Amino acid sequence: MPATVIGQDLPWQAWQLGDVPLHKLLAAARRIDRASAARKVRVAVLGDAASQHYCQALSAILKLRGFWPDIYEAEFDVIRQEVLNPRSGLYAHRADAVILFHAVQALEPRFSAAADKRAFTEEVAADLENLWTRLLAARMTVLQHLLAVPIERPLGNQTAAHAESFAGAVARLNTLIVERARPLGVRLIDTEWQASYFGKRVWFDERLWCQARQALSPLYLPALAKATSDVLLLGLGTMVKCVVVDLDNTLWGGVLGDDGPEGIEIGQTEIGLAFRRVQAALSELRARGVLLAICSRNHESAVRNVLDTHPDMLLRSSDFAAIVANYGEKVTNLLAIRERLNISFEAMVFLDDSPFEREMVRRALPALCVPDLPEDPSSVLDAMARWGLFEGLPATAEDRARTGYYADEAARTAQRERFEGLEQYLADLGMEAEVVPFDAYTKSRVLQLVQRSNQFNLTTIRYSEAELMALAQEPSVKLLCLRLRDRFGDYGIIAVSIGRRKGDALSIDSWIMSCRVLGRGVEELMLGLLADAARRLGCRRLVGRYIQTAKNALVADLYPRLGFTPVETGDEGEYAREVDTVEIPAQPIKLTTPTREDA
Amino acid sequence: MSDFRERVTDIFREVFDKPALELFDEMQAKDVEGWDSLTHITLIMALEESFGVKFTTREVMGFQNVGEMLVCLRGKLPTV
Repeated sequence: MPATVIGQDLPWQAWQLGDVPLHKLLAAARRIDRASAARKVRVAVLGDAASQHYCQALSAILKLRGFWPDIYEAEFDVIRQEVLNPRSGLYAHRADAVILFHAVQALEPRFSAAADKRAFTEEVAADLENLWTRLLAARMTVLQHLLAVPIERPLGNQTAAHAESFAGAVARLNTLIVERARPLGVRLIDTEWQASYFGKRVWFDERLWCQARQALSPLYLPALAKATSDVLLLGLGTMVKCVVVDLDNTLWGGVLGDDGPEGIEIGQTEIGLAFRRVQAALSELRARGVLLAICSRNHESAVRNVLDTHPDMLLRSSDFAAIVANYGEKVTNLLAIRERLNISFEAMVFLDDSPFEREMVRRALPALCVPDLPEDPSSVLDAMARWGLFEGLPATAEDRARTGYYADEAARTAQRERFEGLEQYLADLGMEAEVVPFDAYTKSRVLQLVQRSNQFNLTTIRYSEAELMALAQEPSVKLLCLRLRDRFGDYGIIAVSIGRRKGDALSIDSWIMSCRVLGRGVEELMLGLLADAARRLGCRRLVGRYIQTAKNALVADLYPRLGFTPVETGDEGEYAREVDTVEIPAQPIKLTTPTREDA
Repeated sequence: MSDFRERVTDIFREVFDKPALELFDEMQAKDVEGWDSLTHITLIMALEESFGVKFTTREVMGFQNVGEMLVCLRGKLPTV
């Protein structure tokens, strides 16, 4: 699916292209003009299966990735003639790269006819090697498709073990191709993986082979063409060099700031195991030379502490080339990471479990690849495989040392940039809030906020259910519960405040908010609602108080930020503001009237 | 049943990239610009995917016209 963004459609990013249905891919590519796909690639495709669909899909994907393809498509099944004849169309085309699109079905008759089945794989491999060396001599990059091992198994479970079976021979041939391609620098496209991943029962389409010599079902052509483009474009600036990760519910389960280092889920059991596997996958990328970086809403000291002391944490702080953890905007922090690592966004991937953050980042930084992370952490490995983002060759020792280098560099050049599109983004979110009553429907969520929230909690007074019920009845008390929704969905009740009339002031006894909705105007809206409540109760002032705990540093300066001034005669952390200058803001959140069924 | 025809029409429109395309039973490949053997396969695949059915090898290439295709496709759907 295209990344549909508020108010505009962003172009598909590389991670999505393999999943776009073929006809949509072709239609989208037809609308791309030469100017927007600036870099030219000259390619030749030689196949022993029908290659028209394949070429169309490849051409479309290249255009959608910003490259303008000039593809020479040889006639069907003339691979040898094209390569061996110096006056063939292939050489006339002066291609930079040649794709050898061999299909396993086309090899089968040759196997059937082979007198010596054992010598077959060796013969075919030698033939291929001969083609490669000629193409390499003509200074072309060679891309060779591996063969999808067929599903027939004439020897049952013993099929793979026997070189006398076709499937066994193909499996061996793949091994030979891999071994011989590498020293020559021939690039491989792992067709066997494609077929296995999607399932050979559906990937192969016998009907279409018989009808039209199609090597695979066109349903899986976009993925294959995407993989081909990954291999083709290696070295042309499409390689991912850095993966930036969020932490809470991305690298572990739960929220570090709320649940504490012992409370987050990472390790050997249940969800924790799923996250550990995600960390292992990232660790493998790191070992290959991809840099890892952190961009998270957290305290940096808490992050470093949990990374380095949690017994089940696989990734440690030294595995990250940059750690940016604070309560600022993700976009600002990503800009800071780019600055520190000096890597362009084109070479970065950002992983975050929050659809809100993802869309905000995509919109602000369109060059940065922001794939959709599955909600269930146990699906992340599958998604990562499917995105096809991590094309590359094994790491050198230098790659592995690079993380350390960048970390040093980062310490020197740390600096921050401002993000300016935020206001517009928030306006486009279509946020709607509603004041809901404290009643049987809302009770459990409100209690959860009051009793469990740590970070955005000004006084951390833990009322019991009975106490809250009593407060809600009190005429001099205003209990405000706020529910929020936007185009990404309904967040439920995300903020609670309790105001008590004390003389001419409404004293803000409690103010709690979910950190998920930080910095989106909910604070200002709640302030407006409190002022409104104060006026209705005949109060002229709002008085708030910040009581420091181990976990609520986040809101230490909330009142000053909202225009309150310290009360000189009051208790420590007490602030006040006149209510007559405070209005309920009309933007970016629209206040709607309560509807009973939602409450 | 008009629902069915609408769904098929939508798929035709998407595959042939012609938002105003209208189907008629006698319609053949020659009546639609861009309906060659390749787009035909794309069309068949899109229909199979959308309706969760499978055409046989003979059916894949063998329809005389759209009407015949629709009858065949409808025959593969569970009756309500």
